[in-house]
Amino acid sequence: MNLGTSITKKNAAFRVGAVIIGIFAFIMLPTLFKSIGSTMFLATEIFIFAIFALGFNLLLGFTGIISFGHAAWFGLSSYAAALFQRHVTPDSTLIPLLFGILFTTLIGALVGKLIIKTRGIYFAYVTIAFSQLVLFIIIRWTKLTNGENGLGGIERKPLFKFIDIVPEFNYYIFVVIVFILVFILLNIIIKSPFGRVLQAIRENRTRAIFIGYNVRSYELTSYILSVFFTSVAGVLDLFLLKYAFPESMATTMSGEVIIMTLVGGMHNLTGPVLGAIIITFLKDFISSFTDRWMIFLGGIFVLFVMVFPEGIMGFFGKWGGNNPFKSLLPKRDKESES
Amino acid sequence: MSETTPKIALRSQNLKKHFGAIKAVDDVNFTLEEGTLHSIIGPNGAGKTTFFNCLTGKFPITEGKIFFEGKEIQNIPTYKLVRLGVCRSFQILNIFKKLTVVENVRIAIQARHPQRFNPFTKIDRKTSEEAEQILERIGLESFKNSVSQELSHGDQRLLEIGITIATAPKVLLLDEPAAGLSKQELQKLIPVINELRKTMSIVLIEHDIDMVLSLSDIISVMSFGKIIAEGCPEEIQNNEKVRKAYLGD
Amino acid sequence: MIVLSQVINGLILGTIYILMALGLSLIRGTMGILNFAHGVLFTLGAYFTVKVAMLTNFWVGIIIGPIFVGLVGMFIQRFFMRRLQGKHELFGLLLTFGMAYIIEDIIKIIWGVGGQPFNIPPSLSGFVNLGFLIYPTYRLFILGVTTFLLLALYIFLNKTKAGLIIKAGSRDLTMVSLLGIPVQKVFTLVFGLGTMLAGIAGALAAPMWGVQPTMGNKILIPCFVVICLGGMGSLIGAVVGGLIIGVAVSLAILIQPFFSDLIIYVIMATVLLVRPRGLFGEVGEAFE
Repeated sequence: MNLGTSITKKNAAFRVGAVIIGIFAFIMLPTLFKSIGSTMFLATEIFIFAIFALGFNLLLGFTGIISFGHAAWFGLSSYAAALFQRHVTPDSTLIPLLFGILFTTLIGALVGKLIIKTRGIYFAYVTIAFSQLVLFIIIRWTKLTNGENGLGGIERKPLFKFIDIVPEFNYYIFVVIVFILVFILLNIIIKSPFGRVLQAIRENRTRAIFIGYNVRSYELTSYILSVFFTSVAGVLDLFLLKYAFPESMATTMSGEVIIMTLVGGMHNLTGPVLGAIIITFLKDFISSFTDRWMIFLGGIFVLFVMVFPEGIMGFFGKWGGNNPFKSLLPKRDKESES
Repeated sequence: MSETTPKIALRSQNLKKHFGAIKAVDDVNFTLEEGTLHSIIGPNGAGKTTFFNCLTGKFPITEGKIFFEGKEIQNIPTYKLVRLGVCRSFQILNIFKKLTVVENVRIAIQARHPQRFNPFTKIDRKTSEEAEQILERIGLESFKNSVSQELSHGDQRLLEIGITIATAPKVLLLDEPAAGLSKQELQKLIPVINELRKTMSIVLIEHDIDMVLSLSDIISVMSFGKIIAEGCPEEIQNNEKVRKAYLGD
Repeated sequence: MIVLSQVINGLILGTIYILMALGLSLIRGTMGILNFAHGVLFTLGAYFTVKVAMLTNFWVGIIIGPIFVGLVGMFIQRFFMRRLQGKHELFGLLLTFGMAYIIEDIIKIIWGVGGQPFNIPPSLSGFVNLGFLIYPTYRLFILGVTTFLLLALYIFLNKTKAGLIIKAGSRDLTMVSLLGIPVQKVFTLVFGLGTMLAGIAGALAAPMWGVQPTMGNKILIPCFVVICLGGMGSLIGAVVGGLIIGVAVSLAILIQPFFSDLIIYVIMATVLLVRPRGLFGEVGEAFE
């Protein structure tokens, strides 16, 4: 009954196992972090980036489209929520949060509609250009956004009367719950008929058109869903930092989310999460003794592209005999086989 | 456009496709009667595949009209044409290599279903059963859970046809389905095509002359973008022009 | 009069864009990848030129600097990209994306995050009276150099054997390899040439814009837009697109400085809406 390489039984069992281990890890992580001198803050950040990476990966890993400007949506949702709290509902966290997501998804949908007709490298051009446009507007509209200094004074208020997310640990748990919801939702999406079509498009776009799919509208939907999940991560990040920074939408951030997916492995859901944990940790660690994080980031890019293109999940998948992460591997293998 | 006794499934009228100065398809009037198997033969570069590409909306055409069941279709995007009932296979293998055999077919069936766009449902059993029926029709049911790139070349060819018929076409366009097949593999393919012709009209591009002569109701011969002869297999075999242009003797 | 001088400024800015966009186009056309490191190689061109000029003089610097950049490009192609041969094109993109980060930080580590002084020689400073306009000599020098380079490039691509191979390779790579030409060597050559063009652009722009580690980030986006406007895969498109964007940016400054950055995006959005394949782009390459 279960179809497709990426969804064999073995893999499903593996995934369930990962989720169970994960839940324990969620509770244990902050304690663990403290014992090695790290913080609850970092633990929360890891899950926010895991959401970001998962959302991004719906587009890259499951639809085969790469965006080099996804940080724009991450940052934009932060700003939208921040401005909403400052100017409209200063006593609420929930409403700015929802507004940030809704607003960003809407803008993302409009931009997506415009750029989805481009393909391949051309798409890379326009995603990066549009992310620069968003960044440019945020930086230049100083009256509203306080320019390069960012927007401060954001407060975390209780979600409802009885859900208090103000203390650090409570917020951590809140983020983890959202993360689990996102994970489950994405799991449903990639197993749904819709998700299968996305993977078919990734495998062979022309064929998908010739069996009667309006491929472009699938790609657009995938893009919009991806923006949606990205903006969820963005607003959560805002209420963690209590500050909206223009850096959150810089190209470096777009690069970071790409590398999270690349490091973890892009053709399943566990990969990006693993990547988010590794990269966030690494960044925190390296930034503690040098300003030159970018050279490490670039180095990881080169290392994984050259040596482990299938990511960590794929790398370990090799021993399992069942490697569902093949499709972006060297074309050479396929051709020599056929 | 008047519907005469033999119903017309697909028709092109003065169809032209030029690439710069090259007239790949030049003024082709082609008529596919319903329920027939109509082959197009011709030397390499005669414009056969380009003609298919025009019929299925892959290329915008330069001039002319295409009718499907009496309706003009030359401006309809490919994916909608497929839903109307015009579907093609490819000369170069074009399957979802990383997906399993049954998934390949299932994805194609799903394209006809209204639930295809719903990201929050599971795959329903009916679609999967339908997929298995199609696999039986093309004789691949024993490989249903294999990853399709692991199939033999001949079986991949059959799968290509399976994907195509899973879209439930009324008109099936087959582009060299026998390309690269061994004798035994060919013996598997021919009954499949014979089975399919009972339920749909077929246009077949093929180089294997024996296969074409034995299967076809009508044969059109293309050369340099034009149809130079048309008729039943015997007529074509005895046609002087065809011998010169194509059979080469 | 101010409009006229802005138009000339725009043409000069445009020629810098053209050098960059041509490099990007050549690389993409031949190797099928987008070189994200192009902006940072532009920066590297400026730094190399400044440093060589400090040791020798301006003229030596502006010739040797870009050649060094070309060598860096050839090194990247030879020892990194070549190993990606046969892999999905995505990996080429990711590689140059990562390289851009590395090179930018290396520049910061070696030369610091601050700016570098760069003085043009006395013979190029000062102004020229054009009769209708008094104009900075250095900018006219840029116009002259870039025009000469474009002509040279045109002749190279159309009249020399190596150039014809590159041109043929950007149309039909399989054919070139069938002719027994070592494709990977062509790639190294093209990548070297493309990055050298970026180096030249950086060297020329250095005295105008100031030399600092992030100077390349500012130019990469306009160049993407130049290619979008001109059309993917068209060298003439890169030239026309570059001039249009250059002039548009310069004229927009007259209205408000804010617009000079915004206009780039406005143009891009318009192109996507009205004519997604750009002015000279071929159908079917980047679109359905």
